[in-house]
Amino acid sequence: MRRLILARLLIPFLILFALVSLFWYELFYNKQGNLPSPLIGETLPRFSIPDLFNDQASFSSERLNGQVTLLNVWASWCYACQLEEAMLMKISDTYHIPVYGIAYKDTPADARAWLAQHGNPFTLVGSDQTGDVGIDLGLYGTPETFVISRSGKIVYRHIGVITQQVWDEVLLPIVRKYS
Amino acid sequence: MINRTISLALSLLFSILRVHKITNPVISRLVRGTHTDDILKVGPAHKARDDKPRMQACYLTQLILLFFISHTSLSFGAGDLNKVAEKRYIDLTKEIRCVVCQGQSIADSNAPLAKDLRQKILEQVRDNKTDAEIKDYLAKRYGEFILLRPRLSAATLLLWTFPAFCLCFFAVRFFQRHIRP
Repeated sequence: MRRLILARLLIPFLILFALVSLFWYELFYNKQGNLPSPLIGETLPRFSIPDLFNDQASFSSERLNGQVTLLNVWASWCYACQLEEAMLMKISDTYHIPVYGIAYKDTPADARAWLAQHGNPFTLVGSDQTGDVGIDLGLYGTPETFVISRSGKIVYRHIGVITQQVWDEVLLPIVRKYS
Repeated sequence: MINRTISLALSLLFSILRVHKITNPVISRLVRGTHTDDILKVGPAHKARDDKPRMQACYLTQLILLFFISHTSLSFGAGDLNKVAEKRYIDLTKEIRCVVCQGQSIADSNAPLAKDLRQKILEQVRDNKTDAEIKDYLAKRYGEFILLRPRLSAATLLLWTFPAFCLCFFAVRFFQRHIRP
């Protein structure tokens, strides 16, 4: 009988302990930057936007079928995009992975000038002036990079700048896995 | 339309009160940091005592009006909608999370993405899409996370039923302990 009372006294403390550990975990170990995307594993949303360098031509989502590609969303007004420009050049030149670009909410003239200044790593760049494609992609901000499989499915999304470390440890293994 | 008129009237009243605050010598001296006692000693400041309740009322009104500001600013841009659709639009924006400033709804946020999403919702309300369709549209792109009020699904079943379950459990226990014997 006494044992039973003791056990019942312990229950509130056990619940409290469980709650404290849960909050502790959520507070210190939960990765904030790891935003879930419902689009992983889905086919890339269809889009067709003007080619940045040729108003008559268009850049449509079908262009990405057939091989593993990166789809990078950037803007000339985005400071962080400058930081990953060299890495994107390296990816397309050294690793020979085609990188496609979407100039997000940018005037075409500004975007072209920016590419002329910083170098153009993109196989093809589309101009999404309204930001509609951004919303269809569930875009949080720039830069954001999607890994697209051969069959045109989104296999991974990276939010933020691609550094050498991110490329080596995260993106390259994924690209290798799907090619 | 009525919403817009009310918001204009409120902002007008608000600005009048602000002008009043600046022109009222007693308050402006207080704002500049003069000590209250100094004001009370000199000539016109004797009136200050009589003014005090009015000043307080004035501040209180301003404070109350402050609460309307965020709501009135939202109604702009949706002027061509009828009353029901406009209310639906406003209510919807309050239930959608601003993904770049996660504690806020897109109704409260001025982030560019929040503005774009408000615009998307407005367009769909104009097209007479249902609330469920609009939420589906957003959840498909940004995940269930974007809905500030989680929808009932297998993953959220426990979340929704737990309070009712607790209530029943303790009601039964209370009944057994205190009423039946």
